[in-house]
Amino acid sequence: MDERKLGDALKACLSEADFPPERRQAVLRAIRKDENAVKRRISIALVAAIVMLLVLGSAAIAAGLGVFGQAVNDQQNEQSAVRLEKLEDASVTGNDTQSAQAPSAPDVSAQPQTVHDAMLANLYGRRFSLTLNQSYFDGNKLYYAYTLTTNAPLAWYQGEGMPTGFDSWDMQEEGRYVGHYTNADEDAQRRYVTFFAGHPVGYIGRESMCVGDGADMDGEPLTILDSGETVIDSYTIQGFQEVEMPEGFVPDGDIEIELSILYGASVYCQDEENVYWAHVATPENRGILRLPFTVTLNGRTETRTGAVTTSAYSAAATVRISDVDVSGEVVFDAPEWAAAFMAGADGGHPMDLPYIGSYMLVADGVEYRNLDGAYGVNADGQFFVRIRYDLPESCSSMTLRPTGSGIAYTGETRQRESEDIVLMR
Amino acid sequence: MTGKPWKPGEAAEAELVRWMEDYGPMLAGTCTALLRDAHLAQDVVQETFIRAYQHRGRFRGGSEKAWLTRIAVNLCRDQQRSKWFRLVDRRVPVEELALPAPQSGGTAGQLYAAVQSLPDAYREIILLRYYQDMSMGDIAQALRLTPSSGYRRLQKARQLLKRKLERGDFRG
Repeated sequence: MDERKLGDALKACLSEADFPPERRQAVLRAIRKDENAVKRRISIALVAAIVMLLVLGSAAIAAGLGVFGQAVNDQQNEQSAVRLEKLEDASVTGNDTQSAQAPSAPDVSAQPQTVHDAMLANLYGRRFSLTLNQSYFDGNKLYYAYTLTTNAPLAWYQGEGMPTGFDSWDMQEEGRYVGHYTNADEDAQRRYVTFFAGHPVGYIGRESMCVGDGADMDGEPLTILDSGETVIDSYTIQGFQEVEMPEGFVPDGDIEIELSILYGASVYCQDEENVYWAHVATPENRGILRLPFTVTLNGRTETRTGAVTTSAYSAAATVRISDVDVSGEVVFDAPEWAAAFMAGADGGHPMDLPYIGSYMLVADGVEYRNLDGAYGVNADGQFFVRIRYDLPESCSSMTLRPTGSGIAYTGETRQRESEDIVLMR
Repeated sequence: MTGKPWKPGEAAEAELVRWMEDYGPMLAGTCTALLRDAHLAQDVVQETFIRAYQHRGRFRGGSEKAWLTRIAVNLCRDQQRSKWFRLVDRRVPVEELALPAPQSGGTAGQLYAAVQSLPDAYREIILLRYYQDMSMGDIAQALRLTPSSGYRRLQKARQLLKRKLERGDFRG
């Protein structure tokens, strides 16, 4: 495949993509509005934040948090923080550990003669332990937190000149390393930049490991919804993943899943003209190890349903209250909405009739914003709205309140109809 | 910390304007190809810049392009996770896109359609590499991957794309 032709094709087909002035103005209006709101809140918020930091800082250390709880404090997981807090309490701590070993070298007596072979030799026989520290499985979603360790520190390699034993490069770009590359791992990035600043022609590489995206179940990958990973030290990483069960899945106790460990080594090098990059993996398994785990159905879910009939449509809601969140959907008997949505999706124009696109949850008088916000047409051809809320403090009474109206009111004097859906056990 | 200082007020707003000029069209193209919906892509790019501005203090140096792309890709993923998004076939027909010059139109259209038919994760990495011309390091930063897993994903994406092109297993 001609890579230049591929790049040219993508650029040609997307050549009219633009971010027009009216959109830029909308961004500026939004941030100015937000800035004013922040200024009004700052004095109280600052005092509260300092107090909370002091309290939370000491509490976190004292509480001996699990992996979910520790992940709350990683700023990369900001959008997942509320769920992670709930998971810390709701998950079961299993600490089930499975071990695996990379394949052995074909010829253990052979001394590596090149840099490439030395890197490969270090990967052969490396041992890994993957611990499933915590899990929460409610039949619909599975959340798990893990710790991945290896038996020896992940190695670094560096030297003068070009590394030997590499017949080809996986990437090659003109110029110097500095100004070309940045890396997700800031410590590594600093080390690369420092090295190349003092070595105009040289190489630096390292070994790495991670847990692959999403668990497999019955040989099929489960859709990953969320994840996060933190490097603890040169032997250890910790992380979490959230996956969704396939549609139609019926929970029946424990499930068997498979997690994958990805490991390998990579090297950057530069000469007077180019920067090069190559990846090294044990060829026997392409650097992938798979480990089985059993996850217990430990989540508590309670289903509530409700319905409403109006002069324009009828709707039926089903929500599941888990220990982590409230989620579900509202399905409408409104064929014209479904038809309008499909027409809009095909032509890219919005629906031009009154319809409901989202609901607020009112639980014991407290309002919760919809975190999902998806709507569309399901496999049965019915218009639906997906809903997901943070877990309320209490759920004695629950009502879904539409954020708009699905009724076309033509006269001012016409009496407004209630479109709330009261959820019952 | 190697990051740039947090800029208050006018300086930060000027930087935001520069981001929108420098990266807006490129992000719009990427999001259009990821979401297969030009209008939705505009919404996502708008939200990308708002979030980037709100969290500008967290930008720790390195590539602005990779950082902004990461925000945009995450927002696209949020959209793609929606059930309705999965149910509706959103592949944009090639004839609705800005087509290249006639002499290369057929091939470009077929290549674009083949990329569009790839699974999301592979489409992402192909777009970042060949549309945005990002280095592997920047791709790793944008997609929160290690360089090794980024490399593996790109290799797999190229293999899949090659197979699709050979078989004609895509819809133009």
